Amino acid sequence: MSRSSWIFGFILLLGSSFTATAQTTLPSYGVQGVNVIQADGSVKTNQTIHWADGVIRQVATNETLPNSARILVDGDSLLIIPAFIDGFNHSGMPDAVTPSSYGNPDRPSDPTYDRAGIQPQRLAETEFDVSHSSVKSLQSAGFGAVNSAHQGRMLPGQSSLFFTQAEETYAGFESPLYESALGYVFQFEGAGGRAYPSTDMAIMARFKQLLYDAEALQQHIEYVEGPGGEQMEAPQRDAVLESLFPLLNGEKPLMASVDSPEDAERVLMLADEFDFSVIFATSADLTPIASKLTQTATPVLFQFDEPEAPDWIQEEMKESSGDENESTTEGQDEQEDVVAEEEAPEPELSEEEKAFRARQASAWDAKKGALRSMLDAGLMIGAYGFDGSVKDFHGALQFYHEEGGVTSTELLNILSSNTAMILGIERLGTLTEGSMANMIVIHGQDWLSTDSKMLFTVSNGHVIKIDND
Amino acid sequence: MITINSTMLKGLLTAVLLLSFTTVSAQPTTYTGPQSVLIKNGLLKTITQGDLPNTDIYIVNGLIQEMGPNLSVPANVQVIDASGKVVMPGIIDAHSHLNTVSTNEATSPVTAEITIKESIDPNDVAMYHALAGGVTTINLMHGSANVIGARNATLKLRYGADQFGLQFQEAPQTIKFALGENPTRVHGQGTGVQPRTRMGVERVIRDVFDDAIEYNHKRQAYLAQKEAHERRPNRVAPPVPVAKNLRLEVISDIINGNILVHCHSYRADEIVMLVNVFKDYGVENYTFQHANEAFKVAPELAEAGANASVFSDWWAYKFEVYYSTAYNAAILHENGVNTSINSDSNELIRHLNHEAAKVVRYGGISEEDALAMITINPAKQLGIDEYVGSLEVGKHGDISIWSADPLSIYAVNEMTLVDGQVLFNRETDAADARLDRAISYDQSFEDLQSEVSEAVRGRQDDACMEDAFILFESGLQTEQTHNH
Repeated sequence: MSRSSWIFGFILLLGSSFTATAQTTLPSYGVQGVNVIQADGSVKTNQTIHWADGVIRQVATNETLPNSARILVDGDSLLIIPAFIDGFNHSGMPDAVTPSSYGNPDRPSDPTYDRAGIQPQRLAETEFDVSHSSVKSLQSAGFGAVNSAHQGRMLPGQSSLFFTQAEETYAGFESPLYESALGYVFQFEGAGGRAYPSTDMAIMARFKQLLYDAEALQQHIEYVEGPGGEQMEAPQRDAVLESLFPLLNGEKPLMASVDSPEDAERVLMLADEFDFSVIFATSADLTPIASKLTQTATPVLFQFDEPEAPDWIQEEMKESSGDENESTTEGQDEQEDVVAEEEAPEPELSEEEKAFRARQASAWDAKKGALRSMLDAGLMIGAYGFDGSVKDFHGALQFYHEEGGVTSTELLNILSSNTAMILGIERLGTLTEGSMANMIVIHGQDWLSTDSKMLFTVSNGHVIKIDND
Repeated sequence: MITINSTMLKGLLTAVLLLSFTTVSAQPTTYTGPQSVLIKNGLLKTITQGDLPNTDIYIVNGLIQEMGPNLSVPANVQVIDASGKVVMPGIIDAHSHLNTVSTNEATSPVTAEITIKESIDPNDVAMYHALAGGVTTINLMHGSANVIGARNATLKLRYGADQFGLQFQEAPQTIKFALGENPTRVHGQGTGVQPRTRMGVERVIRDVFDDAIEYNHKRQAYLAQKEAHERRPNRVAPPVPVAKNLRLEVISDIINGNILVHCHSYRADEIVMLVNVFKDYGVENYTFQHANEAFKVAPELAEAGANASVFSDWWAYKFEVYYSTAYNAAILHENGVNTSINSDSNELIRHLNHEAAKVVRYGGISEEDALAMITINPAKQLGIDEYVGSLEVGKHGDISIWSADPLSIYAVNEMTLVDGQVLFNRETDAADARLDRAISYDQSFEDLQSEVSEAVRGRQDDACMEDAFILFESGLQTEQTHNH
């Protein structure tokens, strides 16, 4: 039995025994003899990492693990990188209630907070379900933590950071919550149906009025508690408005999901008036407003979707790759096919369509280069919104690497330490002593390569075996 | 052996073509900022100082510095030869929804807290189409679904600028009001809230005006006591806070004369109703939009100092607009009402010169007065006549240059300048005038074609009731009517 296949057997054995354990204290684990890539791209070989109780206790060269530690993997064919962090998502949260199921309010101009989609008092941990399939998908894609929030409309709630794995006990899962209430989710989503606000411009106005109301309530509460306040009427308490005080006081950011630079500018107008900070979540290219973002130190969480080229570009790519095949494997039959194709040539494009395609090709190049362009503009970029299959996610990373000119180090940085920094979480995104034990174990030397295989995601010290089938 | 067949060649050729295309920018000229330019030897239609034949106009850093024959300028200044051409101020459209992101927030009869300034789409090619018609300034308005709609945005068509750069910084704030069928249909008939009738429309206005007056007193008293308390916390009791109310602050500003009202209206009785309401609250300097029956009450409007912004000959698209006349603008004008001709349409905006010409054709007013109806008169209605609307020293270099008298059906706008920069030039007109940033990477050619075809037809979905019907399609509001 070769050394590598021995290790694999060992890994598989360990992997299967790790699931569904029912302990209340986290076991102590370690990896040794592995290569470690940090988020900044630095590589160290022959590393030992030991963690216990969800915290990395030791990162060292050529060390052996303590006897008490279970050896997860051992070998120089293995690679450890920081686990990814999803900077903003709805993973583990219940589906949004659709507007049609609300019915229409009697007074469309003045719906209840809930009907209007104004629910900033909702904390994600009240409903986060770590066993939800969306969280399992995150685990499989290498995410060790997710900043999750309720789905909804204009202000659906406050997001909280969760580990993607938690211990299951007889009483249910232990809390995977790492930090509560990181920011307020905001999006240009109207109330739906016949209810205010229904347009982006009304959402802007409604948002301002909310903060004016919160300002007055906060002032009232302060006055009652201050000199002369004992004679005052009691303030009318309001959980929604009170939940906005930290935003009003500049203590927490608005996490704004936007589709365009123009929408981002609108959010910045709000931030400017009320003096709070913003974290943008987008798949749009915000380079046109880069200077405004850098001036206000506003970071951007970028969604790794995999955009599709226009149909005509796809067809041309297919044709040209088909031609290559023909040149290497062509035989008599294929020659005939080609002749048949020639008999029915595609109609000549009009001048208008040619011009259209020329401009669209530039737009497609710009789309592919969006992330590169934002990095070059000096923007602080993290990652958000993993949604779908692992295959798609890795495809998207490959896309931005190969087509978009983003290096694997930049991608790793975006997916781990940058996102942690943007969320203000110091102990995630790096593999150092005292950091949370969140990492990915990979078979291969290049984490981004399609030849490499993710074996385990470690989240809060819990080992999750990745099913690669 | 490697053989090359024709399919391969085609692929290679396409690749080469693609490469070469990406280096060509097809984008039209975009706004870069105020410029200096000399327009030589044109026939100047100054609007306010008569016609000046064979006259130069010298624009320095976006402002008209000098007008006269044979001006000498520094050698590096761009020169446009306007010999045989007619030079006039850029056209101003006092009623447009040209490039709104959304037009109607149709869920509330009063939405003064909202502003169209937060609903400007700076990427819309419709701006270029309007420039091609000689238009340089528009009143980008909220729709007519609400009795009191949102505040509007006065824009200069600085094509290529962002949503802030498009705004006419010196322009006072204006706001949209609407009377009659639209607000009663959307709110009363649509959702069962006031107003259901024209009486209800008046009630909505009076109620919110009264609320604003009361709010303003309370808010000012609160702010005064707050300041006193903060200065001497142990001597002055803390006040119960009165939250800032954006909607009522805007209404207060209307009453105080800081915001100009532009009111969608048709019938004479409702027009007089609003004149009386405004008299009661001391509101002045307002404009009736559409106002197809305004001719019936022209003396009353003149006495009240009200303005009118009307179509030249467009009516009968719904019940309240059956009674009208192509003499409306002329009658208003003859009675001393400051009158403009507007488009309310992305198609009509491209030939407002023809619309002005119809007032001469039907009402027999002077050509000079007709041109004033699409330049200085709308400028007055928007409170920007100090800056635009005529060719005068000190005003903005917003110019359109015509092949012939602009009131002629044969005249063609050849060039449009904003702040001294040529943003439309018929000679170098790009086949595809979209901005680079407006190009979608995933839109099909067929979809674009149908979008263009809709833009050419123009009159379908750019009217005052845009968004309102989408919102209420499940209710009674499904009829496909024209909805200004």
